[in-house]
Amino acid sequence: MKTLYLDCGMGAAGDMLTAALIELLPNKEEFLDELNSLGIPGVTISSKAATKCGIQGTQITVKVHGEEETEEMHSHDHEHGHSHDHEHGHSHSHDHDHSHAGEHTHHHNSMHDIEHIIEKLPISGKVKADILAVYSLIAEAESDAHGVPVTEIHFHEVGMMDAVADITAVCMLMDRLSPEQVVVSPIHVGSGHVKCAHGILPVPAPATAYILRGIPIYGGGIKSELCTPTGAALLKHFATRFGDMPVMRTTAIGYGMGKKDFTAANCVRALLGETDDSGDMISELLCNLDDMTAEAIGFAEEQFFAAGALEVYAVPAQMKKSRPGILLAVMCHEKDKDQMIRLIFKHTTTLGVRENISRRYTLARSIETVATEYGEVRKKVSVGYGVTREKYEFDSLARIAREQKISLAEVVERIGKQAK
Amino acid sequence: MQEMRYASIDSQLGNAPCLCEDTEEMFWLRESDDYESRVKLGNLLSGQYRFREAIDAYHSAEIIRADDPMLYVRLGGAYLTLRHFTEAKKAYAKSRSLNGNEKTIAYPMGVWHYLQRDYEAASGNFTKVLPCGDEMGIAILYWNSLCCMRGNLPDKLIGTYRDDMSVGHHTAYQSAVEVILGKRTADEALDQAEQDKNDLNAVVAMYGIAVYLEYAGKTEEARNVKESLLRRESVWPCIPYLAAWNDMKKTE
Repeated sequence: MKTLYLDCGMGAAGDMLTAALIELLPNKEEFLDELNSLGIPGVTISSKAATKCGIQGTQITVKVHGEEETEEMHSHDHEHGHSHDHEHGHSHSHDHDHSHAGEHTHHHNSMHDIEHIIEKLPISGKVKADILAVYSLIAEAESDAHGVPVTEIHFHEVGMMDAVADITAVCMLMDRLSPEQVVVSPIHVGSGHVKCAHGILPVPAPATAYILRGIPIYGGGIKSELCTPTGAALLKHFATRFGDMPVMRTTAIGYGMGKKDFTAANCVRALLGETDDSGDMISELLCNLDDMTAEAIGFAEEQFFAAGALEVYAVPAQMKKSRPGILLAVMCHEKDKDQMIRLIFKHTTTLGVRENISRRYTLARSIETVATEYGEVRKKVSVGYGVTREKYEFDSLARIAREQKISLAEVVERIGKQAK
Repeated sequence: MQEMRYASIDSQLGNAPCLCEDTEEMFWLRESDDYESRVKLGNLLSGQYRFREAIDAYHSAEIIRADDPMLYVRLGGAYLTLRHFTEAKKAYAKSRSLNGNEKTIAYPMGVWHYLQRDYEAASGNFTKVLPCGDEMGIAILYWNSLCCMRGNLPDKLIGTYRDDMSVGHHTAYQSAVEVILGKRTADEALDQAEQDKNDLNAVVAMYGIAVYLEYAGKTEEARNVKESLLRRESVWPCIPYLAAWNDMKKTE
C-alpha cells in the first residue's frame, strides 16, 4: 500500500509540510510553477535549499506583494534598531518602539472570504474540498477558543494569504502524491508561552490544542510553538492514523525546514513508500443487546455510520435468561474508536463494549463516471491482489430503472452494451 | 529599589549588583528556545549593558548554530567590553574563520589592540576598514591619530581629511580630528564638548582631545578631561569611555 509517513518530531507548520512534500516530487520546480500560476491574490511561492543541524532540505517562502508576511507585520509595535557597531566594542542597538496605528493593512478574512478565494482557483473539486475542510477545522477551533460562532471568526495569522498558499499547496501535493494511507507520528507541539495578536497564550495555542484533541501530542523540552493551527489542521485532515512509522520500503524522503533554528533539526520529515501489505488496522466494537427495540437499533446504526463507521451490523443472538437479542458490531478506524465507543454508550442500552483489533485487507477503489444515453452512471472499480472488479453504483442504476420503468437487470444489460 | 535602565559599569567590570531588569520583550524571548530569540535576547541585554548575561545568551545561541559569523562579532564585542581579551580575540578569530567580513572584525580588533596598548597593531587594524564612507572614515581618522600619537607613529591618514567630509552624526570625531589638525583650539572644542548634553558625543570628543593634550605634554589637563568624561556613565560601554577607563586604571 502506498504510504506516506510524516515525522512531526519538531511539530508542523504549513510551510514545513509543503516543503517536505514537495521534496517527494521528481520535479519540484514544475509544481512551484503550477502553484504560482494559480492566481492566489498577490502570492509568489519560492523554495530554496536550507540546512539544519547538518541536514539539507527545502525551505518554502511565501511572499505577498513581494513581502514575506510575518507576525510582526501585523503588530502595531515596530522596532527600529540603530546600530553603532563602530562606536562600541559591542553591537549596541538603540531600540525605540513607535506606534504606527493604521499604517499597515491588516488582513482579517472571514471563512466566506476564504471560500471565495478558493472557489476561483483553477484546481480540482477534490482539492478545493480538502482546502475548505482544513479551513473548517481551523475556524471551528478558533470559534471554540474565542467563544464566538464560526461565521464570526476572522482569521488573523491563518487568514493571511501565505496560509492560503500553504494549505492550497499541501492539498495539491497530497492529491498529486495520492498516498493510500497517511501515518503521522505523535506531534511535538512545544512548550512555554507565545505572544500573539490575542495576547499571551500557552503552548500549544488554544486553537492548536483544540484541533489536536484525541491525537497523540507531547510538549517536550523545547520552549517554542512548534505546531501551528495550520499545521495541526492539515495533519488532522489528512492523517489516516497517528502512530509509529510502519514497516515500509521508502521510495522518496523529504525534509521540510522551518524558519527557526533549535538544538534539534527543525523540520518535518516525509517518507513515501510501500508498506509490506495492504492491511490496515481497524477496531471491531461489539456489544450484546436484549432490551432495545428494532427502531432504536436502526436509529443507533444511522448515528454510527454518520460518525464514520466502516460497517455496522446486527446478528441475532440467544442471550442469558433465554432472551432473544442481537450482537451489534461496529467497525471503524482506530482513530475513530473513542468517539464510536461514546456513541455506542449514548445510543444503545449496553453496559459494556468489547473490542477486537483486526487487520483489514482491501482492494484499492476508485470511482469512474460513464456517459450513457440515460445520463452519467458512476462505476466503482476495485483493483488489487491480482483482481480487477467493476460495478455500477446501485443508486445510479436505481435512478435509471425508476425513470425508464424497467428492471435493474435490464438497466445493467443496456448500460453494459453501450459501454462496449 | 529603583529600577535602572542600564547596568552600571561597576556591575559589569566590578562586583556591584546589576539592578537592571528584563523588559517584557526580553521575558518573552526567554520563553523561546530558537536561535534568533537567543541572539535577540543577547542583543537586548547588550543594549542594557548587561554584557555578562548577554554572553550567556550568545553562548546558548551558539549551541544551536555555530556557523554564524555575526554571532561571534557580537560575542567578541561583549567580551571586549568586559575586558575579557582572550575570549574576545577568540570570538573574532572564529568569526573570521567562518568567512566573516574582514572589515567588520578589523574595527573591534583595532580597539582590542588599542586597549592592550599595542598602538601599531591597532592602527594596522583600523586602517583595514578603509576604504569606507566618510561617516565611518572620520572615526578611522580619529582612532588612527590617537594610535599614532600614543605610539609615536607617523600618521599617514590624517592628511586625507577633507573639510567637506560627510561625517553625518559623527561630528564629535570630527571635532577632535580638527583639534589634532590645528583647525580649532583644544579649549574651544573642549568647551563645546563639555556643554554637549549628548553624553556619547561629549565622551568621543573629550577623549580625543585628552589624548591630544597628553601628546602635547599637558598631562594634568588630559587627566582632568578624562576624569570629567568618566562621569558620563550613561555611555560607559562606548569605546572612548572604555579607553579612558583603561588609561586611568593604568595611572591609578
